[in-house]
Amino acid sequence: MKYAWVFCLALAAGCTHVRPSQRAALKNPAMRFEMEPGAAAQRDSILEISEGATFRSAGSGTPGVTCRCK
Amino acid sequence: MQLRRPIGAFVLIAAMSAVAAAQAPGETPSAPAPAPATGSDEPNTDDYRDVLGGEKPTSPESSTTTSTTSDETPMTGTGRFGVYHDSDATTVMRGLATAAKEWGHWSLTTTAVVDAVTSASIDVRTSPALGKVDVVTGASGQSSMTGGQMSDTRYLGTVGVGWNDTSGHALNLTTSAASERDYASVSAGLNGSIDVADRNVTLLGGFTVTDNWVSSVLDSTLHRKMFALGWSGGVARVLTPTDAVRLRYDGKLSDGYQASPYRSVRFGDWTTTTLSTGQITFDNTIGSADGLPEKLPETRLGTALTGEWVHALALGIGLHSSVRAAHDSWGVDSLTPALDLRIAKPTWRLQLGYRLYLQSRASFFEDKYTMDPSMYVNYSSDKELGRQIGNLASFDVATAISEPDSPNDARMMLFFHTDAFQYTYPGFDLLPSRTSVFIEAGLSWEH
Repeated sequence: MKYAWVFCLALAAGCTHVRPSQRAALKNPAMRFEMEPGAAAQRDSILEISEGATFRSAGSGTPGVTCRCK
Repeated sequence: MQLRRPIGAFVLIAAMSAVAAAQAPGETPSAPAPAPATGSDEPNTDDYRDVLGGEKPTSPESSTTTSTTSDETPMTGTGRFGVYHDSDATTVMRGLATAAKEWGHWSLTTTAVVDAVTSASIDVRTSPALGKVDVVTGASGQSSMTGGQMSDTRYLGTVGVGWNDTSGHALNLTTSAASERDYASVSAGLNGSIDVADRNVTLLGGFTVTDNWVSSVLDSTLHRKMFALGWSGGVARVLTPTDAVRLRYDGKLSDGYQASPYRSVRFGDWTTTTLSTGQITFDNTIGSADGLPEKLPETRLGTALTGEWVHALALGIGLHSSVRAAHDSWGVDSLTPALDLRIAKPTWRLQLGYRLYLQSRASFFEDKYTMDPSMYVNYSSDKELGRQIGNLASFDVATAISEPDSPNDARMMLFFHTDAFQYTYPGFDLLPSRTSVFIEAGLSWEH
């Protein structure tokens, strides 16, 4: 798992810089990681009780870091 | 009634997630996004939220033409009704309502969920206790067991408070309480995010705590607890004008009673007989044909790593791919690749997805425990702890049916959502496969 954190740091420190004026495509709802969070929440609630190794993230979806913080 | 271990989470998670969805970044009190293509390169409050955030109802086109000077946005909400049905004779009808309101940097969201469940699943029909009971009615009237079919009703309430300074810092607190006849749960979660590097990078983190009380409609002396702690950390990044990625690490520690009080394990090279009532009985067992209550370790630590990539094929058309790898201390490993195509137009949105799920069995799980029970430390007949192969196809569509008259009005969206699941359980003779469908429709008032 330490390699994951190394990758995270590398990702965060990457040199690519996309300016606000270049983000027209990124701003479209189709580019969100969760485009339909309500539907995804319902789906995830079924997956968690149907699959032995699936559990919800504490940071996304449920209380929803990425879902509602921006 | 606990058809599956911890089925109470079904309603709990759905409602907590509804709070998250209702407090989506698109509903923050900040002004709608200015036109990005012709603006300056100075980062603003919306430059990044659309990439990583949740559903924002206004289209890119419409968002360029609206503005508001008020800190107070109109109340938003969602009403959903869905039906789940599977080939294992389980039906769940769900009603969900959410209301949200924002004041300046603060937001408040409340959610109520009711699940009505009926089931004659393999867990019910093989349960020596449930299968023999003709009628069991809870004092509350919530649950009953009649002729091999159980029914139950679950209720849940959730309150969430969010803070967002619209400059790249956000914090959210969510609390929930759920109740059913033999299962109760309370939960709280706190999470937040920080944007850095001119909002090209977002750092994410959060944790949840959940306390569960387990009882049994058949044994009034059974009162057990299970505590769970979840945590998450990650990073998201804009890579190019058409690409963004996110990497997340999630963990969950569960401690306490994690079995089902209704599920039993038979030993020996058993065979089964299905009675006219649907009850399944066992022959050629070692020891009692009723078996023994399943026995699971009381501590379970699970971790998962998820990578995601979203790519713009064209303006308003995105391709989202992800891979999740998970491992836990019970020896269950899984790999989950997924792909979905999204189209977002000014008045409608469409999403088509496919997801594959591959899972290994827990280290103590066996399709048949052929030796004497004393030879095993732990044993279970939970098919979700055995090998699993799952396929999921999903379809979501939403369309605007009324547009706001002013920037401070909400617009109404009609949506339809369906998921089709198919699972196979290699080696699990009692239920080789299961097919499920969840269909849901609803209305939302979004800002």
